[in-house]
Amino acid sequence: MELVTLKRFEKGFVTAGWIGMIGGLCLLLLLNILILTNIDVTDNNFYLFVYLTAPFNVIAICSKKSRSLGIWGLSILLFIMIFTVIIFFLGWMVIPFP
Amino acid sequence: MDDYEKLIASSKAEIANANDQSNYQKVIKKTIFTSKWKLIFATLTMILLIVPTSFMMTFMYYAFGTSSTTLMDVASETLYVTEPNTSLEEIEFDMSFTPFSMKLAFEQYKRIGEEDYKANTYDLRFFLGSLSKKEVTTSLERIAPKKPTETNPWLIHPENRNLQIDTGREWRVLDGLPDETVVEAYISFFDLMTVKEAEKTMPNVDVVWAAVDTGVEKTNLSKDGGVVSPIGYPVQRDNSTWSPFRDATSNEEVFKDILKTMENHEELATAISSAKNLALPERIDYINKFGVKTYGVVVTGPKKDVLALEKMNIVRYLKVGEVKLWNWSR
Repeated sequence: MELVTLKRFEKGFVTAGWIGMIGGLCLLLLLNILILTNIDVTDNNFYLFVYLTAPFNVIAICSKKSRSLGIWGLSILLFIMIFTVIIFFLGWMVIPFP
Repeated sequence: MDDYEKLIASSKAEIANANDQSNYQKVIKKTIFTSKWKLIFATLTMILLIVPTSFMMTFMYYAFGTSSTTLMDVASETLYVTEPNTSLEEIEFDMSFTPFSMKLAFEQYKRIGEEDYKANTYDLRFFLGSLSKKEVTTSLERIAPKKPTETNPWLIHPENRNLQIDTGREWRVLDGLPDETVVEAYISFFDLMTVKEAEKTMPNVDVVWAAVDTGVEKTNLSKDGGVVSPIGYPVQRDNSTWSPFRDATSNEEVFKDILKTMENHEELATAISSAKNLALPERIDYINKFGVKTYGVVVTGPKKDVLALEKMNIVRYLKVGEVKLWNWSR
């Protein structure tokens, strides 16, 4: 009985992992579109999606079976965050206008 | 165990074995399916990382390599000294980035009478530090020759006898304009003079830009045989926020500084300007040796006052530039 419950939980973790990873990929795709169409990344609800995707990846990390998916998704989100910080600070140096 | 029981036992064992086999196959299939999708998503992740990573590298290049501000300054300063009577509103510069490239778009203005009018719209694309595309959309009615040759400049050195301007026609064109117009005119002198002397001799019109004698204007050819175009600087005080001549004690000194900056980026400056060849080291040496003297200026003012210059014995040639309706308040 306990084994069945644990298996169900595991399925949930794996599903969360896939959702988190695919969500991260979608955000990465959106980031690509924003860059190529010259739309300001900070000017839209982009980060709302980042905050929505992150919990799925955190949940996925808790199970051994879905850990790789969770780490994968979180790495994508971390990359997006680092990208934003770097672009924000370099933007001050590169664009001289207020 | 009799034969019957043996048969039943072996059948049960066979059935159990078959179940295990199908379970095993199911697990194998599921694992292959998951790995296949993981591989697809890993490839997608790698592909989608290319653009943001190259965008970050582009920003790093324009921040720590050839800076975007340097490119912008070279572009604006080049236009100030190579395009007569023009100014830029750098605050209106539109700067945007795509991976490995930068786009600069801005408008250039001309002073005609007492007002500034849009002259050109520039769209410059840089691939990292070099100019990859230049597009100029002009709003002018009288456009200087697109391909400069040694015989077609609008400002002519006193010792240059190789000319294409029909100056008599230009004076007649000017005479035919209504009195209620303001005019931009390109005036060439019989002799070299300082910019202050030029201003003093023409008090009724505004001297807006002065072409500087750099030793190559007698033939309009540099030492290496390339065609050169006039260079000079704005004469009037320029208080626009981003102008290189803002709050300058002497525009002449700023002009010399600009030439030095341009010399460090001569290839880029040549690509940005409409001149084929800037020959800066040669011209800077000449200016340092003989000082800044002008052989021609761009003036603007009421048609009548510009026409009155014909009677002055210093004016050798005239070329009429842009004409606008009256906006003179003096």
